[in-house]
Amino acid sequence: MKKLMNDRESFLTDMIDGLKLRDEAIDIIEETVVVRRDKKQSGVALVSGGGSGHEPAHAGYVAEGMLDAAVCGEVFTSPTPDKVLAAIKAADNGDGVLLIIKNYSGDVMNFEMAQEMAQAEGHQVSSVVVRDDVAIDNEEQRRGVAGTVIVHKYAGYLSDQNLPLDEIVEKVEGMMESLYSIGMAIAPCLVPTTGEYGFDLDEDEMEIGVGIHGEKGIYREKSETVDKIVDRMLEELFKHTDSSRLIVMVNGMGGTPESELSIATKYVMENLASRNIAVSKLLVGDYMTALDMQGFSLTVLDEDQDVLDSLEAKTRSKYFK
Amino acid sequence: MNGDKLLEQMHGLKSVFDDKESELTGLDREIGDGDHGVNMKRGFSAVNEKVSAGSAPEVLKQTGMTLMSSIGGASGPLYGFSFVKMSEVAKEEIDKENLMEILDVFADTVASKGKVEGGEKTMYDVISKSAGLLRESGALKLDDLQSLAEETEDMVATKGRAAYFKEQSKGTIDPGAQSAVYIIHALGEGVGK
Repeated sequence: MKKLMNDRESFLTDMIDGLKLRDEAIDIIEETVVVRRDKKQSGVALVSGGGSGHEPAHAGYVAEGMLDAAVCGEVFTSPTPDKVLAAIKAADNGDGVLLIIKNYSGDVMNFEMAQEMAQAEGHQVSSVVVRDDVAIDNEEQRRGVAGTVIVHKYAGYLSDQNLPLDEIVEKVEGMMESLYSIGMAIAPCLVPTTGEYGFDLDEDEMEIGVGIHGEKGIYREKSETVDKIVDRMLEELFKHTDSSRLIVMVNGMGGTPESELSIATKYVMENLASRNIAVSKLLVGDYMTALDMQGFSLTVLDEDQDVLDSLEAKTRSKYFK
Repeated sequence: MNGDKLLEQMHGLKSVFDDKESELTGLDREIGDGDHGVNMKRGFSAVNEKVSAGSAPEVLKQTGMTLMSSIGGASGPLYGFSFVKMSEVAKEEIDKENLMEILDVFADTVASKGKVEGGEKTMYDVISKSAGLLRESGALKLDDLQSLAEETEDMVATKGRAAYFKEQSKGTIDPGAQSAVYIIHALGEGVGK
């Protein structure tokens, strides 16, 4: 395996040490929990996290305007409850803590155990579970993917408006009702902790409906030109939304060149124009990745003034543009 | 099986999971995200390093706490929390009768924490049948446990990451069912000897 790393046991901690060198606004506690150096003194604290390998998520969003803490698990593996608890305790300023959890059984179990432990110690903690991946039919089982980053930004904005915890939960849950994503890959990622590719794919094949953990997609199909791929993905998304005004995110999976993301974006916008859909905000970049997977995901969300304001609001995260 | 023997069995699982890492990774790569081998290896390496001598209930509890804070993913809380709950019914000297009770608690904990029942292609399919196996055959032989894991091969997953693949999850043994085989075998061996 060729990877820029020393050994697999120290992959996570080496990465976090590097992050710290690159961002003077963060601190590391308990080895794998990233917190803001200047702790937010009032307002609901936002804690997210999950397995690593999705960079810049989640540690890159620990910044003014977004998260207060990110708990970094091993690559593609949910962090443990003790670390989540440490993050809650460090971030809580007395105004309560919101956990933003992606819908994976491991993440949900570990974060909820930490939530119960923190509540037992007197912290006010609520959680929201993001499940935006429409590749999964069963709504309860839908994975949390790139849309999670929009949730981070929206919740960060609401917290900065000094809204109380229950109102933030209500608004975020309302927003998530129209949040839909789907992903695809033309090449798998190489997982550093196992030395294996997430899946094997022939030269002329692609995976539609991939998650963000290097797992296979739901459909394996013959590879196509990008306009057809975009049509295929939007067709899936429009089974779920009928809004004529959308917020759109084109998210790179980590190994996709900027040039190809731009090309994908062009065909996304052409398709949407042909459907007479107005795009009120377009986000393009690597927001939620799967290591070096080549591919992208599309996320759509009904236009909403509050959400639009949140996306325009200032954050010190250099990864949210 | 007293605390010392149990400790030896738990420490011994480190080398088992060292050996089985790639097998579990292979299964998980088919229907999950390929990290079950490395996670179990990390968990039992930590057990080997951190769990120290004590009574049988103490060893089970320490093992549970260590697994909970080192495995991560879904298996971390499921195995970790189960061991903690198992410690509550374990006697100082675990005999076959007591092991059956312990395995029942193991199954109940996984069922409630994982919101899972039989036939969903998970670790529960092995764990929930192991007390019965011990009752009927008087032992927990590796081959018999393996047959339980193999029953998951033709199941369609409805829980965990494998459930995303629905029908396509058929044809692969559930990685959690496979790791449960090794854990339960180690517990059975301790009582058998």
